[in-house]
Amino acid sequence: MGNGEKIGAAEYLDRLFEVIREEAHANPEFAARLIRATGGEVTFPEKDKAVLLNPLDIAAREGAEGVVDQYASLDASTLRRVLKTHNLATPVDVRTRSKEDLLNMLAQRACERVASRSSIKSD
Amino acid sequence: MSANIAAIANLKGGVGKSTTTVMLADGLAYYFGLDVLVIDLDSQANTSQVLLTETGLDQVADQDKGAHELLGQFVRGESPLAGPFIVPNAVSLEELRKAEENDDRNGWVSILPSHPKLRLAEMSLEEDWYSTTGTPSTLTAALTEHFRGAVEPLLSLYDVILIDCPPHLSPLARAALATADTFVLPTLADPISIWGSKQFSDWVTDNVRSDLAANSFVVVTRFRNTALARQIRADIQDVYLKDRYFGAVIPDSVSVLKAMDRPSLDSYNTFRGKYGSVTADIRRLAQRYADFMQQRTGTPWEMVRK
Repeated sequence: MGNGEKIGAAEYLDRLFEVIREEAHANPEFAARLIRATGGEVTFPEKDKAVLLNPLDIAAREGAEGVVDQYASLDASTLRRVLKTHNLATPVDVRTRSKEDLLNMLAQRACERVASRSSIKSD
Repeated sequence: MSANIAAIANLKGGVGKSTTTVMLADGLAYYFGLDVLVIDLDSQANTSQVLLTETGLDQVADQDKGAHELLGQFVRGESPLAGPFIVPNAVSLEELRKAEENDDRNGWVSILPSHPKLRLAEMSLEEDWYSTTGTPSTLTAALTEHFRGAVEPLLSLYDVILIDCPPHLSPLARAALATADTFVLPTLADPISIWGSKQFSDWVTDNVRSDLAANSFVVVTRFRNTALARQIRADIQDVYLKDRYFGAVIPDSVSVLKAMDRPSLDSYNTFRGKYGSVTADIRRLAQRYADFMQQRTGTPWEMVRK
């Protein structure tokens, strides 16, 4: 340690992971980055989905149906935000659209973008 | 009026040719209500990608539209005709779309798109041409004639034709330069780009257009406001290219990146929504180009939107 204190490996790792765990609880985006980095598959609380889920990632893994499934519980206002955040729609595109329209737009445009930009070939 | 043909060109890649082409097309259509045709001759097809999206680009290629078809027409020895290969709707601005819906068109953007297959078609043509008695010069001359013939009927249909040129001097690129009336030279405020601009200007002046300087409009793009960049920009404007007309400086900005990413072919945005913090820069770019054209022709272009 900085002051010359010696600790064992287990104690050292406990302290490190405790800091990471605390930060992950307080900062869901950090938690999501950790999970992505380690390839973990988890579910997110409804309130965090808009921020933590990546529609392009879901479209690449699960297709349009997967996008619809994951985002179906979100309201129209949140779907508008998701579409704009990922540059899948402009404010003009999403105004006066119903929740169902927005959900379909999200699924269709996410799949379209993955198809046109990804070099990953599916089996 | 007869369309002004501008080649957006520089020998160096990555200086913002496609970005400048799109911004100028949008700016002239929006602020001046001009009908703009973009001809994308860069086989990287970035301008086409920005205006039509990647999916749209593949769709129009499947419909046999694009610059490669114009090249195919030349190879088959057919009469030059560009009209069938043009996509008439490359507008992404909500205001222009609404004007069209209300039968009150004030500015429109069309595109003769590019596609990576353009380079393959060009290479195949070059191989055939050179395998007989042809030379790069004779191919350039023949392509120039075909291009001029293809563009001629379009001059009365559009106000401005912007040709996005590839960052090299192939016969196709030289034919595009020889077809242009004016030259838009995007450059970065860095030492490498200055040298690239000099190489391009000197070569084109010596081999294609001796009046390049008098017809050049220089745009400094991706400008980062540092002391070094300001010094280099001043050197470009006051020393190296001081005989040219200078357009607006386009800042290095997230807004530019976002504006170049159209979400979908049926996606529209307001001008301010699309260009965000660089809206005023695009306005200045269009205004300066209008001033440049007025200086050359004596005819003012009236702003239709503020």
